[in-house]
Amino acid sequence: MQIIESGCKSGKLTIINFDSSKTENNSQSKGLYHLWFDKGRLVATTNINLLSLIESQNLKQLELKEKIGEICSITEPIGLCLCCEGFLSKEKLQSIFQEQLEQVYRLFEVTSGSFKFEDIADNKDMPWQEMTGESMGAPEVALNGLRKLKNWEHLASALPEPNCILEQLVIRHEFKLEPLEFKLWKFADGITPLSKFAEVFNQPIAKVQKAAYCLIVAEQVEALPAFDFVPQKSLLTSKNQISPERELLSVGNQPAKNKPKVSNSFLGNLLSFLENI
Amino acid sequence: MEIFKIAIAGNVGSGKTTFIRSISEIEVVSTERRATDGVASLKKDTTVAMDFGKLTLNEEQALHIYGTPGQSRFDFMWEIVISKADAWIMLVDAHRPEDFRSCRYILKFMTQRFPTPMIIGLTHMDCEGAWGTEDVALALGYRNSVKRPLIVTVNPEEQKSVAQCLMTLLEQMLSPALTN
Repeated sequence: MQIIESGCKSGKLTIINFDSSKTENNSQSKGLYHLWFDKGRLVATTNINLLSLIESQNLKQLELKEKIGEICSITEPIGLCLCCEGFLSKEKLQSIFQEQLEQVYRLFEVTSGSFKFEDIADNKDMPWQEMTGESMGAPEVALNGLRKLKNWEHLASALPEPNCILEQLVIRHEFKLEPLEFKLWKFADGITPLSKFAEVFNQPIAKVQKAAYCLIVAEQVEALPAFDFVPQKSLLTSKNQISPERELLSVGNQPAKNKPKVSNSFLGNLLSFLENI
Repeated sequence: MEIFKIAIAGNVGSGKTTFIRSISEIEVVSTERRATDGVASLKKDTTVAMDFGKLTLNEEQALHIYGTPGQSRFDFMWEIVISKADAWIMLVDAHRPEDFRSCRYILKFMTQRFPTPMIIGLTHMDCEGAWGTEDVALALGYRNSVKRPLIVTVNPEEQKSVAQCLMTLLEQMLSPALTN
């Protein structure tokens, strides 16, 4: 999800749930899920036919199909088209999209599976017939999915350690954080370990770890390894706001004091030596 | 004796030991032990302390290459190995996206703690399911293609490819913008 959002990607994310044959008995029995993204935002899932969802909103399918053929362009979200023509209200459209999202959130319960993302170059390949016109950013989808998760067993090894520290990745967030998430983000100073937050906030460490994980997945904070970490002053901004790219700018672009101790002539010799291998 | 020390870091199975073996003039001093945990599904043996390889240029100059363990439970060795290095290479297995998060973790730790010249080497690019360079870069947290370390493709099994990777690192260090 992070990569789709970071790369502003458009295309189809296919998820195969290896466990689904045991639990599903509908069209998803093969455990295949298709999520569609447009410029990093989730726009559709194609596992449940959009028209059937619209039909459940008191519109007859046959009548709908006729109308769609008459009024909607082939490269326009069907939902949006029907809304503009007065066949669906904005609220109904949002409620249908919410139903699609609920399917996606359930995917966070998958314990074993695989995924594949296929870029699409041409807009014509988007599933316009399944799109409501509504969308949600990939990090927010991930955040919501994780918040709804009741069993975290399969993610236990991914949770940040109690002595892990957090750094802010964003100055402000585009979506609402829950109180504990907000406090963790606000006080993520690159120094304080999660165990300390748990103590100060009077919360179980497991709850703090889960909230931190949600923030990490939603790209609001970055976790740093659990060492006796002393952040370098040059990498910190005055307000504890750290831009990962600025930090990483120092990589391979070192200030003079960090130059290796070896001479340039030695490096030149080594280069020539390697060229002759 | 002038010694240039390069550390090779990366996840389990990214090709660190193979990388060093391909270029070293000596039998690699390895601390591989039989893998007994989840790593066993990836490879029979795994590095538990460090690997060491060497290239002698002449009587006065040599290149030493150190490989870190890939497993996070030996991560205290990252610090020991990389803090002594003049430069380092992070190997990332491009066909194991499940490892990208921990690679990002290693990168974050090392680049903050040791601002030492480095490049990223993508391995297993010829394997099915390997991610492209740009996607791996995003997964490693580099949104801006200008503000990121150099990323090259390397085949740790091929001496020429390993040499080319090392040369890219050296060229980066020798470039005028960095040495002025």
